[in-house]
Amino acid sequence: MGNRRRFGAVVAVLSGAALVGGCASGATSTSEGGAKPTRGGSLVIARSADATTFNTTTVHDNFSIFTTEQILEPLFMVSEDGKSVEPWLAKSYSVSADKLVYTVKLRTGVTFSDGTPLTAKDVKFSIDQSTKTAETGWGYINDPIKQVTVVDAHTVKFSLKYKFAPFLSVLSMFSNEIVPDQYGGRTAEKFYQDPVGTGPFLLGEWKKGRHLKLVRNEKYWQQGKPYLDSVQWNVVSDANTRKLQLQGNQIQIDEAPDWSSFDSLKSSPGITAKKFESTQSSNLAFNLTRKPFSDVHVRRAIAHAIDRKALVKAVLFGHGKPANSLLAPGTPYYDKDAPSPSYDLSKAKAELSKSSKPNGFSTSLLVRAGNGEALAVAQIIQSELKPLGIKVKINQLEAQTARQQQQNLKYDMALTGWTMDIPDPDQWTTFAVDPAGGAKSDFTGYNNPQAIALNKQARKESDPAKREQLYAKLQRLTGQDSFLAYLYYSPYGDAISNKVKGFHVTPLGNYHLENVYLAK
Amino acid sequence: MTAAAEVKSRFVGRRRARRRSARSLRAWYRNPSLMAGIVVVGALVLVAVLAPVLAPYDPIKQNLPDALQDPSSAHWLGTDRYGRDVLSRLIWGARVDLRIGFLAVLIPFVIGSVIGALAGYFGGWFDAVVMRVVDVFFAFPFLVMVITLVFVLGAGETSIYLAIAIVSWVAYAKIVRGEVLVVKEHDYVTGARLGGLSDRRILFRHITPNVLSQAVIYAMSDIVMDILAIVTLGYLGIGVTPPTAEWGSMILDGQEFLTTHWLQATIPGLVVVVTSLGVSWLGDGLADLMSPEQRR
Repeated sequence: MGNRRRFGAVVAVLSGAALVGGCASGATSTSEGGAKPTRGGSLVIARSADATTFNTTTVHDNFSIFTTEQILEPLFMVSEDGKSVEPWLAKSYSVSADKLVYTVKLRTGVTFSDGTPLTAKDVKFSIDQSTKTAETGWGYINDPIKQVTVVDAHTVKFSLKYKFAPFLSVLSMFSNEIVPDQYGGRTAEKFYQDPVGTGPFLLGEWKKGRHLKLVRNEKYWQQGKPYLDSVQWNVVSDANTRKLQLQGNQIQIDEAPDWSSFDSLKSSPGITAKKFESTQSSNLAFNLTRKPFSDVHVRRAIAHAIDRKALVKAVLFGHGKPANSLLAPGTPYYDKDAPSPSYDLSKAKAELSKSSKPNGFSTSLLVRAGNGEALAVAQIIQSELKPLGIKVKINQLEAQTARQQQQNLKYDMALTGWTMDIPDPDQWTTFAVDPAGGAKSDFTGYNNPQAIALNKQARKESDPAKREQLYAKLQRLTGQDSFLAYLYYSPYGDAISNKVKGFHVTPLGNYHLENVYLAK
Repeated sequence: MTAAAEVKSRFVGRRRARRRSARSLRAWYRNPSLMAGIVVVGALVLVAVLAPVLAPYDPIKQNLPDALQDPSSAHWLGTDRYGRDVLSRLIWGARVDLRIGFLAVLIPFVIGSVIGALAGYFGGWFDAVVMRVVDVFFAFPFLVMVITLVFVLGAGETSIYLAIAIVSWVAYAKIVRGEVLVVKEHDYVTGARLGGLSDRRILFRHITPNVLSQAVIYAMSDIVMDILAIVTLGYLGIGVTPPTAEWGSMILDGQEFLTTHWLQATIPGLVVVVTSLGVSWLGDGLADLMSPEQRR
């Protein structure tokens, strides 16, 4: 029934931890404390890895996504609290009575950075191009869209195949950012090397692997913004170096300070270590297509054997919370009381004795090499499963290989993570519990018809109260099934110079640099 | 030092030193680099062998509530992020690093020497092919090859042995081949051939023992390279699999705490430096001892 929406969000599929730092976002935050923002200056941000591309219709890494969001903008924007969307390039919208037609009015007076005005044609072109990437990129997120029609220069009509509650969220997805019609006469490849967008910045200089510099878009539609002349991301892979550079004022923001030194940063003069609420969760994934993980008792036993509080303390140094649900706290409909196996060694032993392997077994845990946080988690889990007689071999593989093995279900257990990209749980729940969601249920092979049905029902429900009930049921069910052992929720951590004002990261990890300015 | 020293003592000890034991003993004492090497490496080997006795704690037992402690009377070098005793891990790490370092030299030493000897002795197409292969291998830096191979083969001790064997046999082949080329023109070899001895006998009984000393000396510096390779692999997270204590992975574990608990990364780093120095001294000393001037 055309319900096949696939959400390949891999924003942080594999060891999301690696990407933790690369996230930060801001909504429409304005200047702090009512002070008048100063114009000018260059903001330098240090991150652990470089962006790879500006083409957000296919990109999966946060570094690229959050950077491109400064150049290209979507019709709707995620609100500052990350729980809803608000019109951005759109001025207003109306929905037909049968909820199958969305008519969107565009903001007038918006131009691309090359001076051409934004029209409905550009919108149709952008959304259609994004939809075409269904096989290789994020196009499947547009599955509910039947047709995009240009009504007049500033009105676009979206006809849907079926009623779809989170449709505006789809339009806020970074893959649906607006580019000029026909890429302004260029090929897609050429266009994305130096994209022309409606965003506050445009490409200045990109020395791949070293730094990426964006400069102010003088034609930006928000009067007086952006305040900064330029913003530059430096690639600094070592956390200690980033810290020293921040203390030496060579950079103003460290996107990924180590949790171990996070608190000590607070005592550095002129620096604030800030935590932003996130939708980030870290999980232990089981491969249900392999024995003995097809046995729910084995999975529950392992989920019961993990001391999440100790994990939060040892790995996040207290900056996080034990996880209890498929959804993260920043996600709409998150149920803080959702029951799932918590740390209890006697229950773990009881579950294991009920299983097909009452005396334990040998298995492996897939980890991305070079990811300190993931390795730490893996070593602690390895040690905690020992009392159950479960011998874990930590299998560290190079990032690309590790991702492949996971996606091809060639693993026993793996560390995974997730960050939401739209303010609706559907993006993740479809990815996680529906094998037809394009990802073999978060690459676990989980296939519970009851969960699939619940998820489909919740997606189509438009009454928020009823949706909440459905998602609560889904969270309960997935907790019982333990196809993932939920580990912890971690915030986004940023170390910021006190000179930087107006910097805010949304729970989805992105930021609005047009609101940022440097105090004198 | 086991492998190389054994080989050495068999040759030097049995063939020559027996006759000139007094002189060669003096040569040992007069060789400070050899003495220093023996002391350092000897001490490390002793620590490695006695690890179960010396280490105060289980090196892999986690104790999360006691994580990241500063040095104290209970934990002389403190504890790491998992609450494991750093000193115990260092001691058990010596076991792993030294064992792999010394053992990993053996296979390429044997394979390389045999291939090199055959190539040098018989020459012809076999020699040509072997030398081209050797050139190809030499074109790549040792560490790059080893890291790539371990990436492909997967982390773990077996992969490390295999990777090092694949990469470093070429050096031995080249050294031994060169020596054989020189020695096979000597009168005693010609004499042996005229006497009707088989190629195999000439090569392995008469030539090889006389050309191995250079390979043995090289093996010493190779051990240093191997230990560095193991530590590098451990640091990159693709070496010996956790939770086994290993110096490289200890540096990796400790790196994050460089500004707060600097001992954790620096101490294993320091131990690697000392070990490398010790083995290098040993190699230098052996080179002096076995050089032609000393032998005459």
